[in-house]
Amino acid sequence: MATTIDRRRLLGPANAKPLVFAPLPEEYQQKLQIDASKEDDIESQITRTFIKSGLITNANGSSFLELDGNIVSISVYGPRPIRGSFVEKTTLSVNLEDNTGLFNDLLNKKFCQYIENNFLSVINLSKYPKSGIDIFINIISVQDIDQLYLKLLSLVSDATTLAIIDAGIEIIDLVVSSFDYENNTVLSYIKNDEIVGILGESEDSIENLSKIIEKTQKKSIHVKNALTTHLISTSQ
Amino acid sequence: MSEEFEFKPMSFPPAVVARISPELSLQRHLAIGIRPNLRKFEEFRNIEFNDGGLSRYGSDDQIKNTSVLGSSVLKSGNTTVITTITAGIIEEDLPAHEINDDAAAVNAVFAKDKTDDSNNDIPKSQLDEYESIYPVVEVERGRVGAPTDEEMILSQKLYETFLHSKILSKDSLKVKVGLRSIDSQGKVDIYYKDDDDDSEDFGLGPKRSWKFVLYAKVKVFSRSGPLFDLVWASVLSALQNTKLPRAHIDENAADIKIPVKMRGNHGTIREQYQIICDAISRDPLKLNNEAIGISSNFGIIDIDEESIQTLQNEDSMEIDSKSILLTDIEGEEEEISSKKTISIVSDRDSKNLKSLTIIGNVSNDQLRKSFELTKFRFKHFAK
Amino acid sequence: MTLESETTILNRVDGSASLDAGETKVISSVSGPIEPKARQELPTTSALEVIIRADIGVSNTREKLLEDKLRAILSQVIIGHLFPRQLIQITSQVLESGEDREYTSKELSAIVNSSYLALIDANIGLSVSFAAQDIAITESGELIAGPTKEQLRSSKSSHVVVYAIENGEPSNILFSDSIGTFTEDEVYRVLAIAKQHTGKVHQKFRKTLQEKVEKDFVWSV
Repeated sequence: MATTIDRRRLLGPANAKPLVFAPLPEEYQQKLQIDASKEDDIESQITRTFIKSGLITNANGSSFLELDGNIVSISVYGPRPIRGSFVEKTTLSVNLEDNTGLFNDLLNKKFCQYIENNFLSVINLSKYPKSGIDIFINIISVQDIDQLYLKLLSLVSDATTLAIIDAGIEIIDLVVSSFDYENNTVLSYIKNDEIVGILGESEDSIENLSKIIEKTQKKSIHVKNALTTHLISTSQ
Repeated sequence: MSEEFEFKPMSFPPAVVARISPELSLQRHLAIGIRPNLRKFEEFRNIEFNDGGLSRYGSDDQIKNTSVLGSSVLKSGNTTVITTITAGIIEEDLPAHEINDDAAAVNAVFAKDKTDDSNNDIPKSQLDEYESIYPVVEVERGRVGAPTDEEMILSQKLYETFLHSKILSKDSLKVKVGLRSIDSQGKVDIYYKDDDDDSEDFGLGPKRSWKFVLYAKVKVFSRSGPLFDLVWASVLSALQNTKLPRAHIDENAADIKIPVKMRGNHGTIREQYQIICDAISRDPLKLNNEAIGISSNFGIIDIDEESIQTLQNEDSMEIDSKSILLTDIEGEEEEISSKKTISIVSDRDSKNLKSLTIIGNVSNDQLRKSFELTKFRFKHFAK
Repeated sequence: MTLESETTILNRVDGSASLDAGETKVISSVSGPIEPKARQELPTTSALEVIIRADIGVSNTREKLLEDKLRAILSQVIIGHLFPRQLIQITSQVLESGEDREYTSKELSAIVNSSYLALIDANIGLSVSFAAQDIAITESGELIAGPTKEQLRSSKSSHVVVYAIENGEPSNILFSDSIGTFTEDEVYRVLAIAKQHTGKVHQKFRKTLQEKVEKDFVWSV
């Protein structure tokens, strides 16, 4: 929070302290414990997922995705004209708005950077000169910020793909992401085997890389099927 | 040489006319007895709520690791409003003699001139017993940066209306500080004083008190008209499922007095207390439910001469006057054209009003009609 | 109720007025028509910039909401098409609010009234004259026009009503803002009382304006 007094927002008394919660007792923590086999079962995850596109009417494209207590909403604005000097290719910007209070600046940046990298290589940027595309990620609810934030990132990536399609922006292929819980790594693919993004946060993820790729690739094919099915069914 | 010129009228699809000439578009719509959004003149949009399950205290036994204490997801038309309630803790300013037994002695040293100010003549404000919440409204519009005027005005109006509606009493925000103790076996026990428990303070605790400060973060998607009604409904529904955690003093912060020396005078300053919120136990936020009502808005559109003529020609409409009262303004055309507006916030039984804003030359009849519609809407809302 | 006003008190703006309504004191100034910023410019009518400055500290959202209310009133009365592509800037500085931070009715009423005088002083075309009155309702249901700070504190609701004045008489409502706890009947009573009082307020302003005209008229007859 800014140290200077914000005159444009009603932030309440300056000397109020945020709530500090005692750690959850064990019996509650067990309920929140992550079941690795459940995280690996992509097919049942897909059936649990709720997707809806085009809910936000004043954006060019939008999507809403819900899975296991993760809720994200993506809105895409653009391609729209930008001010300033001529640019040959469209500029892409990604903003993340956290409504849960769980994100710190670093995580926010990580998410934005990952999504930006993913889509910079996929969107046909030269088709939209003098324009900008702005992606707004809204995190509404998070399943587990400590252990499953990369799962959330994979969902954000999938939802962004849908929002970009909803906006009618030209892309090479669907970007599908999949998350490996065991190695805490997320990978994004196009054309089934081309990697457009990777973020691993476990110590030995590099050593296991080929194994991780094999595993997530399999998952990503399921995700891709699910996304295409969804797109076909909604276009009718 | 004669060439024939033909003047062709330009024509645009309705959506384009709505953009380039919203007032004309609205006039023509109203002339045929319908609103651009296909609603009837006196029809409200439906409002759907749910708690969205964003709160720490979910419906089942599960506790989520978040500091969101209440939430609401509201949908009305295309617009979605998401409100999350969070809190902070602040130490209340108490008169010195209530905190310190030795206040009189301290005052004698530090504030010699100061007389007892507990009984002066300033009448108590009606609002003294009530608190407001601190809302931050954000309307998604695909831009980043400082809040827009609309967002600031909405936040402030929420703050003021909430305070003056007297929905939240100061008492209901008091932190009921419990005491945590560890017995000889290392078993941790937290003791909370219940409401009906008249026993004195624990004796060892200080006579200090803390209160919660409530923040509401309101996020609006797909704005399609004036937002106050939806934002008001959303914040109130989130507060209705808000629960406040019980809290205890961290035992590490004991009642230590630190001697200080200042210009040769001696005094003591008390240790800062750290308040820890219980992971599970919580109490529902107490609200003055009678004061919680709905907010409605109305726009009055004067029908232009041309449209009136169309009306008379077709002779099919039942518009008796030259102006039309529209409920629940939606869409650019209605919003731009509504030069006269009425905005009403009523209480639960719509017996009393909490806020009323009239802009423009509104007649008493139109005012009366809008009160009636508010009451009528309320009956439906209650179902 | 005291109400004292004076015009042309600032010499670097096009129009100005000060208003002393007992506990509440306000200075308003008008600059215009002046050149607007590109984003403010409107092709068919004048742009309106309303700035309200608090008596203590910097302005925040509280003043923003007041600005919104003042704008709602002024945009109804300023004849905008006289000044297309131009800007009219109104600044009100509250000198003494005369009420607690939680209330704004006394300030708003004084700001509206002083803006009226400042607009006339600046020779901005107005479609009608207008005057504002603040009213509080006590716990017992009694209406107080121009309540004191203490009366406002113990009131159950506060109101500001602005009436258009035509031919020296209040004609129709331009704006009304109420907050607190009040009934429908009380609204009609407030509007009726406000109508009487805004008439009286206007009578006082006529005197102020007469003095202004006498002062401005440099060639004595």
